[in-house]
Amino acid sequence: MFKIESDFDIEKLEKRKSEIIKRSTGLNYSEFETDGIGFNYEKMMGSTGYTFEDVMNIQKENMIGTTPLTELKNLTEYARKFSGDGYGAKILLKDEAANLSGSFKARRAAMSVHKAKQLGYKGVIAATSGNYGAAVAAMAAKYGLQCIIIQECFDSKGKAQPEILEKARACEAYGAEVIQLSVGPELFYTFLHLLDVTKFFNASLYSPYGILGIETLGYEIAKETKNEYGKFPELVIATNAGGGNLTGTARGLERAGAHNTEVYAASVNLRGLHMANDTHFNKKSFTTGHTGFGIPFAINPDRSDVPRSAARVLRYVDKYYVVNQGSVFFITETLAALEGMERGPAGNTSLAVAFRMAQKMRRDEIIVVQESEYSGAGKHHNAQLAFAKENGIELKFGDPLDEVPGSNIIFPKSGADLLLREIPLRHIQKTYLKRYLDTELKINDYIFLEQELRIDQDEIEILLKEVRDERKK
Amino acid sequence: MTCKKGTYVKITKDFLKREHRLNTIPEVTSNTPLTGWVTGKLLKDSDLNKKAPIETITGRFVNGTVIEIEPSHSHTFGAYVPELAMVRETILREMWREDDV
Repeated sequence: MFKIESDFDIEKLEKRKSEIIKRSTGLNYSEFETDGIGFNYEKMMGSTGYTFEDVMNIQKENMIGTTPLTELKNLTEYARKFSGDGYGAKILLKDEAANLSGSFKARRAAMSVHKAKQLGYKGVIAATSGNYGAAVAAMAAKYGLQCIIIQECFDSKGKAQPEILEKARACEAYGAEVIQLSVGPELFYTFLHLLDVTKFFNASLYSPYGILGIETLGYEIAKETKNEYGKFPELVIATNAGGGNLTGTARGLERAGAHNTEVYAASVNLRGLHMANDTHFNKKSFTTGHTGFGIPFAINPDRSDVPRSAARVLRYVDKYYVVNQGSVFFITETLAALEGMERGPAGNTSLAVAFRMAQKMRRDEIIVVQESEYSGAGKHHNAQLAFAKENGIELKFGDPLDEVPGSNIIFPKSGADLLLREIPLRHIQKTYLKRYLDTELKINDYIFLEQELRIDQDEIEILLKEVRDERKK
Repeated sequence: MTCKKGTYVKITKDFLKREHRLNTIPEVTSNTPLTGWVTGKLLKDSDLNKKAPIETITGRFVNGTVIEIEPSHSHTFGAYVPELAMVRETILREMWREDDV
């Protein structure tokens, strides 16, 4: 006979949250807490039980990592048509689509699933609508573990984002059970409930295992660029959503000694679209790599599915750029038309930023775009543009900075018109600090904030004062 | 009964009723239930639009309404998008035929 699984209750799950997280991650997060507001980040990052060599070996034996670092000569030449004499930096692409399951997310999944196997769990669960689901499912297949992927997929009318349907297909192809949900943050409680009833491992995107797995990406970029071009890259650009991609890459660059390489974040601008809004859900053409995740997670990394996120963008980012949807589609088409590479589109957000940045940097400088992702039915840029039109989004040509997410998609009329908007880090840091306005900060709190925001105590106090003054107004 | 025990189906069920949703989310979302879609094999004979229990691939037993029999994937590359063709023309012209511009 069989016993039908019971429904869940948010209040009851909320009370048992820390117990469920502890059992399902193999990590006791309270060990990393310190007095005051902070915690010991490096202690947490060192708690995985893996050396860096272990990580490289585990990834290598699973067809992950050492992906091609390719110089996009035509795309670089195209950027140079719009830059002044002596300008137009070389653009290199780390072709992460070559990883098992087709994206850099395999690097994260490898470590989480390896840990689950090592600790004796029967299965793994991840809450993700993106490439990470396919990556976890593929690794679970390799290690003979069961796998459940939970996706936010449909609006209340039952209409799905095509690229999420494609991820569901990929997960099922690797043997996972896929649970699809309508829009809403209660996905987290579905996730907790399933961790609880199945006793599976929480393959969180935000655990130290996942971030350690990406450090190899930054490390490879530094070493391979140095081997081929005799120096580290001047700039590495990472598409930013939850923050793990940038965090792990920056840590890997540092590990390789590339201390002077700048790291920029790139997100698709979805300003005005609310992530928990049922009617906004299918008005967007990007389901990841966008500001709807990128900014909130930068401001509050610990809003994730573990008590302390290992993905902490403000510790590593040098500048943050946003780009409109039309420009990312434009550069995705450029990659196919000039380089013969069908990739993305979401993973090409950083490529769009690189195309513009290259025009402002010298010819002898090097920019590395640190990922690509597989393309296919549903997640192809043509599929997403066709879907946008079905949902009443107007496609037009003009100034990309005039795009209104949810109403239109504006393609640049020329490569020269692909423009970016910078979000000053100071704004993000200020918003980060808002939650401490009424906290009496002690010396160890300031030390923690200095590490979190990479600014000194004086600057923190100035920002806090500005926020207080703004509140008074 | 058109659907035998053991048939692979997709079911749907409400995971949270409207009144149990978080009060922090937009009204347009909280006015709807949190709905889920799960696939698995029927544990007894059933039919479309009937409530039935299934066993999922990971061995969970879930009750829900059968909405699809032997569900498959059919997402595509989408309809022709003329604007995208114009983007391509721009790129190729600027890259290879700039003298014509």
